[in-house]
Amino acid sequence: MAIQIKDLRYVYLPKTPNANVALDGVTLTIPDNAFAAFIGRTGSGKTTLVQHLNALLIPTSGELEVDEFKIVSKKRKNKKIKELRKHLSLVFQFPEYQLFEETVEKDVAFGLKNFGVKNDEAIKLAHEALLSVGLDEKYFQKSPFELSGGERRRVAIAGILAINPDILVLDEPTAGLDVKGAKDVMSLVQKMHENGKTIIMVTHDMDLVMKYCNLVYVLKDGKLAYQGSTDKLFDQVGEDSAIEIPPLYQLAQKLKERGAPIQIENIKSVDDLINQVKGWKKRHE
Amino acid sequence: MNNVTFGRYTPYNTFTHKLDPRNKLFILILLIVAIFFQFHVWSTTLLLSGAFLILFILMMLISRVSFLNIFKSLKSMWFLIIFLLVIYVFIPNKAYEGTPICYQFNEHYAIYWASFYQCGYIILRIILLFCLTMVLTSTTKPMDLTYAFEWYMTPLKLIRFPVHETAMTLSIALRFIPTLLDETERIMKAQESRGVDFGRGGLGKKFKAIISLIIPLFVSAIQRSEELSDAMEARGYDPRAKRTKYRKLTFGWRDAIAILFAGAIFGGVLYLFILDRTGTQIELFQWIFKVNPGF
Amino acid sequence: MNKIELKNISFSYSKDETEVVKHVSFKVHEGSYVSIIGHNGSGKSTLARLIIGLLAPNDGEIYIDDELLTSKNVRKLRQKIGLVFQNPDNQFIGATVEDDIAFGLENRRIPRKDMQDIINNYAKRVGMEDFLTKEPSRLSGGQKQRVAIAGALSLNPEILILDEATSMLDPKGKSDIRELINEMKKNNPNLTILSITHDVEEAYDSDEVIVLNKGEVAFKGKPQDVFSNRKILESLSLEMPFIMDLKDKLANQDFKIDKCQNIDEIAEVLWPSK
Repeated sequence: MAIQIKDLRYVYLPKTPNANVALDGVTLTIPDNAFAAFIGRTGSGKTTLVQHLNALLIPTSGELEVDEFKIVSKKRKNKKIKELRKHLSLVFQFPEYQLFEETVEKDVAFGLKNFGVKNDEAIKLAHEALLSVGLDEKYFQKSPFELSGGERRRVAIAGILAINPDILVLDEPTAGLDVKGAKDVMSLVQKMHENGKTIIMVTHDMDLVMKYCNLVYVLKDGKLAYQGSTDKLFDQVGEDSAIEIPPLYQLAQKLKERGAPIQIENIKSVDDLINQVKGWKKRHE
Repeated sequence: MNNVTFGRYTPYNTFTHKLDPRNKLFILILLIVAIFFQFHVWSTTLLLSGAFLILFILMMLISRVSFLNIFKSLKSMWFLIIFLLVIYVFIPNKAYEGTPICYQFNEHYAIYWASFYQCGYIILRIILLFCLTMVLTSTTKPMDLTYAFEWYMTPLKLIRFPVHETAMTLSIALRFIPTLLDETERIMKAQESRGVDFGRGGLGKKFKAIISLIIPLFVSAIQRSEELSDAMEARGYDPRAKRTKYRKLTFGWRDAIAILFAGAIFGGVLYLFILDRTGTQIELFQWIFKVNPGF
Repeated sequence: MNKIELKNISFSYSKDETEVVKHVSFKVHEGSYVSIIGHNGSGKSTLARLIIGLLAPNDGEIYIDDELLTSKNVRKLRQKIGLVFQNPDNQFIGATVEDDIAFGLENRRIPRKDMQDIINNYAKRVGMEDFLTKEPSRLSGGQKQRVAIAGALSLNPEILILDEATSMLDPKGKSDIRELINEMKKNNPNLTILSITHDVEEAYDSDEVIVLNKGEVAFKGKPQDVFSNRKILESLSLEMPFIMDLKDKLANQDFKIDKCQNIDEIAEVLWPSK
């Protein structure tokens, strides 16, 4: 198991009138090499949860284990945080806003140097990472501020990839991108997964979840509402629901309610649904 | 940002919260002046300061201001207190000559009891000031304070001071403080994920860490301000044009009570002060002592 | 009647740079709901800023209500337009919801005694009447956008321009705003809506779609026509709206779904209830 979370509780601004329980007793495990998604509505606590994974937030109570690293609620007891952050890296939402160096290559190398890689080696690894996100030599010496939004995002992601973490956490990696930009980023993430990395993604986009992920965790009001494979998600998460159900699955659910022999767990795209309803026409006649 | 709690507005609904911000600001100034009166007889000054302290504690209780905050802010002031002690106690001051001596080093240099008293009094006044401002800021929304400032500054329009623009700038700045604090926290976390350590490291590392925070913050703040000015323009804002006002500050019965009470206190202290300055020795301590021999 | 007309508009941010908008012409009729779609960098947001006069075109003419937009009448013509921008945070000017709706009213010198009713009325229309005294930091992105729409509508515009108003929202926020737009259209048939978006589902709701590619109009027409050609959509890196995609694929399987408007009707065709 790559990640184990036990009874995690987190309160924002404790002991003030604005105190807010963001996570309320979350227990879950994420296996090695998973491609996992955290979903839920805004304010359900999913971003708060993933920020615990590399000790950006320290639990109010409960504990986490990320491979050999352990995070507990006492701040001083947490050691080797830097090693943890090299092992598990987090790409923030709208990561293009964290760029600051004068050239693209320097910005990508920045993280590496923080983790103790020598300058020349860091620049070399930075070039590799930039090439892997589809940005060639032309971009290396450019200022990040003269790039387009989509390119800046790829630079930011390269900055994390260069660190070469074993676990990669992405918070809304496709937010604000158009269809093509989103596809580019997701195929990159999928490549990382095929290369043996554990991927954890926070997202609103159910299409992405169904297409890429094999495990899904649903949060609702700071509590875990579902954990398991994507197949059974729409069977188990009901109408009151912690998530927005995409129209494809709304249709599938409606067909099931009508008594149609439809297997929702086998539907990943419109084409899957078509395959199942293909023969029905004849039955009606 | 969890650590910025000092004097922050707390959304309760107490008597003080309901007062007109203009009135609160005025009362604050009255009381500040009142605590700065100093009398010839030091026991009188001390007694009055004590009375003020009790009064302010009551005000804090009424307004539900957290005492913990006061202690926290005092904790961060220990350096100032030591500094004051050194200045007042160890630097020779002719004014103390002839008063009781605490310790005589040699014939030219001595430490006087009066200097301790003086220093203690300064610290007490700082605490009093702290309590007062805390009551104001934690019961008044920052935006209401700008409305109050704007109201008081209105006469300055006569000398062409840009009162409206100043108030608008101030209120937008206040509106965006929480947004920018969130942003700061987010960028810090993002850079921490890239191995930046904001707490530790040598000077060079620290410098780099700060740069990695400041530049993205500036870039985004500039972008925000551009978008904001577009949005304001799109909704017909023209700084030179006349505008009507939605917010109206109202002076209610609570305000009348508060200002009468504060006025009475101020008047009383001012009366004693005038007596003091016109030659009457105000022995407040003994007056009370005579009235109440058991004190 | 044409509410907005663009004649051969071109624009570049500086002289040496390539044009981000190239020879764009189109008309928007009164009371219609038009979407301009295109991927990031297609020039669609620049277009919104041109129409409201925040930018001036290098070439071409813009007419609002058949009146040529110039630097002299820009303030006057802008009073007819309400604009909602992309970032919910950066267009929230007031300290609270009521103050933010009031901001535009104050600029228009609406008397104070009338403001409260207007604010309550428009807050109610966007479903934010219970949040009047809330600060922006306590609202979700979707709620902030609803306040922005209320602020724009409270000034009684004839044209409402939505510049990527939903692109930073979560699915719930998106669908809320979509519903709100459709409702607005129903209640106020004279309101002209111009929505700039990269969301094909949203554009599907509109009367007319203008597809922008590399600063040029690539395609325009009814959403059913614009979105029916897979090849063209792919070349513009756009997707087909879900319901059209589904209907298209079901039609290939000989299901008669031409008349179906929504999922319920499709379900009825696929598995009729007895």
